This record gives sequence, C-alpha cells and structure tokens, in this order.
Amino acid sequence: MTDPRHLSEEARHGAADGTLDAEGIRAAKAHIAACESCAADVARLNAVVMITRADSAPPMSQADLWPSIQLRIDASKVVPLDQRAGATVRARARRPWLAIGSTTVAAALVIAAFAEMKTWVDHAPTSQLRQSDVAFASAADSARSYEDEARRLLNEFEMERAMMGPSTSKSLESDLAIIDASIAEQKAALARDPSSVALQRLLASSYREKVELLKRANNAS
Amino acid sequence: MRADVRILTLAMALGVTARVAAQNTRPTADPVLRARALRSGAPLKMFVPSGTVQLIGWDRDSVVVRGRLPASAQLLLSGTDTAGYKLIVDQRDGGSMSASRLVIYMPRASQVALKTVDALSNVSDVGGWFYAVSGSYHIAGTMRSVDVESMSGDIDLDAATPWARAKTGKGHLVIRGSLEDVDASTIGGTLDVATATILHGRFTAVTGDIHYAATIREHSLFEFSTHSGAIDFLLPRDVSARFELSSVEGVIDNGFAQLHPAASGVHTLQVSLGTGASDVTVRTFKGTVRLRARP
Repeated sequence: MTDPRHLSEEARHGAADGTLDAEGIRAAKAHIAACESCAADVARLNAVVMITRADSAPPMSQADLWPSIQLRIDASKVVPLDQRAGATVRARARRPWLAIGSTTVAAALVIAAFAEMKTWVDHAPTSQLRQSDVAFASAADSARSYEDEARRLLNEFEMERAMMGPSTSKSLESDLAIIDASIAEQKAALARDPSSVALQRLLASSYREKVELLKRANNAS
Repeated sequence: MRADVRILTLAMALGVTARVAAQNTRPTADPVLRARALRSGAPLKMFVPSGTVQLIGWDRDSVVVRGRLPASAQLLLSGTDTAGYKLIVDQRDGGSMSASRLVIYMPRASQVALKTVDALSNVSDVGGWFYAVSGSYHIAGTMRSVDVESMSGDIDLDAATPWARAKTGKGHLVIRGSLEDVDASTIGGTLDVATATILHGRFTAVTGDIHYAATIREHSLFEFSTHSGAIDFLLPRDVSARFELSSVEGVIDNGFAQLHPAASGVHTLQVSLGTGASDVTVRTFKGTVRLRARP
C-alpha cells in the first residue's frame, strides 16, 4: 500500500504477525486506534496465516475428535485404561520392600542373562549368523519404527482434520484407506509366512508411505 | 493395456506436457505488481492458492512479481532483502479463492517454498519445496534440490538436479530430466520414469503402476516397490544390471527370455544382464512385474 494516510503493506503485515520492532509496534498501534480501515485489515491479516483452507467446513469440536483418538490409543495399549493403574501404584506404595526386592531380583536376572548371552556370542562364529536373519530383523525393525511414527502422526491428523476442507479431508481418508487395506493384506500374508523378508520389507514400505501421506496431510491443514 | 502401448502413451504424454510447458514459459506482458531487491540466496516463501504461477530463476538480485489478480484478492509481500520475503495472495473478503495469474522472477540461487491449493505451477531454474493440495507442478531447469508434493495433482519433474523428492496421492508423476538421487512415490497414480541419469532411485506406489523406460546407469542402485500396481521395465538390450525381482502373489514376466535366471522360484527371479554393474531390487505384493527389451 502506498497511500500515506494508511499503514504501509509491511507495517500492516508486521503488526499482524508481530515482527515489527518496538517503535514500529507503537506507531502501528497508534494508527490502528484511529484508522478503522487499517485496524480491520490487520485483524484480518491475523487470520491470513491460517488461510489454507479451501472451503469452510464447520470445525470439529474436541468432543468429536476424542473418541477416535481414544480408540487408537487403546488399540495400541498393552494394558487397557480400565485396569485401575492408580490402585496398583497405591498397593506398591504400601509395600516398598516388595518393590525393592523385585527390582534387585530383576537386575540380577538381567545381568545373568547378559553374561550368558555374551558367552553365546563369543562362542558363535560370525559366519553362522545367517544373512537372511539379519535382513529380516532389519526389515521388521524398520516396519515397527514406521508403524509407531504413523500412529503418532495419525493422532495429530485427527486434530488437524478440523482445519481441512471437506474435499481435502475426504481425499486423504481415501488414500489412507488404500494404504491401510494394503497393510492389512500384507499383515495377513505375514501371519501365514512369518519369516518372509520380502513381506517384511513390503510392510515397512507401506508404513513408510503412510507416514509420508500423514506428513503431507499435516501440511494441508 | 500392453506394455509397449503404455510406453507409447507415456511418450505422447511427455510431448504434450513439453508443449504446454513451452507455452507457459513465454514472457508475460502483465503489469509489475511488486519489485524488490533480494539478496541472492535469501529465501522466498509463497502462498498462492489458486490460478497459475510461473516461477523463473534469473541472475539478478531482485524479485519481480508480474501478473493479474482478481478484484477480490490482494498481494501481500513482507520481509527484507537479506532475510527473504513472504508473499501471499489473499482474499480481501475472506471468501472463496479466486484465480490469480502470477509470473515471479527471483534469484536462481534462492530457495523457494511455494504452497498452493489448486493452482497450476510452472517452475524453472529455482529449487526448494513445492506443495499443492490438488494443484499440479511442472518443474524444469537446473537447481540444487527439489522437494515437491501434491495430494491429488500431477507432477512433472523435468529438471537437472542432484537431489529430488516427489510425492503424489492420486496424481500422475513423471520423472525425467537429469537427476541423480531420486525418491518418488505415489499412492494410486501412475509413476513414469524416463531418465537414464539416476544413480540412486527409490520408486514406490501402492495401487498405482510404475513404468521405467530408459537404460540403467552404470554403478547405480534402484529400489522399486508396489502393493498391487504393476512394475514395467522397458530396457535396451545392452543394459547392464543385476535384477532381484519378487512378487508375493503376482506374476513375473521376463521378456529377456533368452537369458537363464541365476535363481528362480514361483514368484522370485534373479537375473544378471550384461556385466551386472548396477543393482535393481523390485518388490510387489500382487502386482505384475514385466521386464522387456526395447526392440
């Protein structure tokens, strides 16, 4: 904007995103207080940062979002929420000797197991370690890491979805469904052939695609 | 569709894309909307939701924005010549997006971050990060690196760069030009690779097909993977590479039939062509893998 009666383009933008220096802020505030046009424009610029949405879907409330997140968290848990973790903590607190004793025994077992394992490794010739086993373990680790990351991003996605237009959200859900269907088929095949390196690698690749998609989804919001 | 027909279709599609790109790179007579000094190397961050964007790298230390905006939109440009600029096309009334037409010249050494919703973007000689929701990208010229993503639009990467990453959801993804390290993936779109310069390539699709129609560079490393999409190779007869092909439930069709595979099972095939100077690993769950020689 070049009209001297109003704030410059940079000043309006700086006032909106807070990047003006102290003097600039003071001047901008003084002007905004007296100029309705600039005040409205700066107020609207505050919202510009979030203008990526293509269409204005009504935002979902936290209450709408929570059930699917809760389901996902519960699905990945070893111990469900309703096992009264608090009661367990209280019981342990009443018997500190039991906690100390069990910790000592566990530590001793770990040390013994480690010493035994070291003996195995020392005696086993490296050549006996099968290359395919290493490849399988590596692929399985990779699949697990991507799966964990996908789960974390999926929870973020549930929150970000409220910021997306319905068409974007629908497109993402369709892509996620395609990937999830492929993962399900691969997992079923792995259950039939648990030692298949090729299947583990395909599974890792599918989870990687899911992670990439969810990262793109977060950019879309 | 037969593999050779598909390859012909790919060639025709590339021709059409090239003609469209050539039309889009004609100089514009549109008015200058903004012009600022910009230190070469300083970044430019842009949000242009809709319309067309042409981004051109040049050898001057300045950014010039030409084009036309609809009456309901305004162009916001903030920043400094050393820290870089942020450029936003904004709807005055906050309503639905209307299409703008922009041609932006910027230093070729600067990195750009361009985000669009459904705009058609044409980029030449500028690298950086490019993102679209349903918009498409054609990227050409020389640059340090490219990272381009579109949720559902097409991407045509025809650039000379040592590092490139391209991702689509449902769009058609074309990889050509002169690239070295490439990571390209699509979920349901088709992925076409037509360049012989790649040293390290990773190509992935879920349900989409992958077509590779070029020779394989010596001492290169490739990895192809799909769930149910087909993977087609159309290679010259003198190609030199070691192939490891595996399909869990799909078919492997070896067009180099005169060659005896080193190892073979129901769904696996290892074969060395020429001196086997490069490594190509192909995995699919139930897609078909085709290895064909170019006539």
